[in-house]
Amino acid sequence: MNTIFFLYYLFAKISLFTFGGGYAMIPLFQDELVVKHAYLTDAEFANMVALAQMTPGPVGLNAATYIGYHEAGVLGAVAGTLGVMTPCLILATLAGMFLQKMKDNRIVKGALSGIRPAVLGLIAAAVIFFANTSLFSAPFSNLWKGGGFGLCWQGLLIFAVTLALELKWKLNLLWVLLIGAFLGWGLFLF
Amino acid sequence: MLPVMQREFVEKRGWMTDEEMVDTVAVMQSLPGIIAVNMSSLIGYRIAGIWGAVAGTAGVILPPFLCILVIAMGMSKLAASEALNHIFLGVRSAVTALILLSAYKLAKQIVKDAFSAVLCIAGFLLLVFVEMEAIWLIVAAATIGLIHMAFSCHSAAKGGKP
Repeated sequence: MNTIFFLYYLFAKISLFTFGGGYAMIPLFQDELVVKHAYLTDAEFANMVALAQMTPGPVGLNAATYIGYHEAGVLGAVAGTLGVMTPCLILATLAGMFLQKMKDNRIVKGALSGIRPAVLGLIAAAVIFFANTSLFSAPFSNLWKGGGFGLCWQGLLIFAVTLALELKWKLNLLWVLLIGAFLGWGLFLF
Repeated sequence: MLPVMQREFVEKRGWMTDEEMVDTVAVMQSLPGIIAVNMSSLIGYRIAGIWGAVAGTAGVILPPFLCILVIAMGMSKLAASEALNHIFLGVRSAVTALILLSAYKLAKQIVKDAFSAVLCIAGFLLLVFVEMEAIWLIVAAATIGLIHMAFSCHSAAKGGKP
């Protein structure tokens, strides 16, 4: 039972500090689930984010359901999902009540003027996190911590192909990920 | 998601005006949490009060919840294999590219002056090199934003640059 409550608390906390949604959540999730509580390894967490992107619905919500199930079965999935949902429901309802006052509130504006650029920093850090589990053969931090570092040519190639495809044709997300999956399977046969 | 909501709520059902929709989106974007959930709670509230908010939220979380539950049940039975690892490595490489692109697009909107550029770079360095916790970074950034605003208002009142 403790795990269930803990999952609820954990996801409510992550939700409360997520601004800008989606990718900005990755470092928050990683701090709690990989670093502090070791629920998942880096690669497992990254796989989960990838899966959450391929399925319909918001990534953060999908992640909460998936991790909740992974840790404590169906009840865990319910707890994780409700946890993510609770701050949204309460804050959005309050915002609905005070919409006109919130719109031009100086404190909200000031705080957001700092939070927005920091969120960009979070997303940039998420790029490094994902590269650690795909483009690099060892974590990026090994460069200054020691312990060897290398690149994975298959990962780099898929990264480059995806970048080119997206920039040129703006393909649908699902197609991009399927191409990544297919290339991953094919390139490692060599 | 927004164009779909606009068509459904404003054009088809007339639940709110275009202007109300714009205001709602602006406020929603300044709230923490999952954007789609915030949006459905807020619109649900505006249309039918607190129970509207609850119903809207339940509606937006239920389909993905069931979908992921089914996948999660299947995945736990899927034996880890070499081929599956490689497939996932490919997907992770593609996701790396997608996140980089979204960071680039966001940077064009957000980085407008020295203040936002410094804050963004400092945030990145603190997370990656100092391994600062993301939550504390958000708290610190909000505080810095407030202080910055207080100072720029102060100098504007004195006749300096706003």
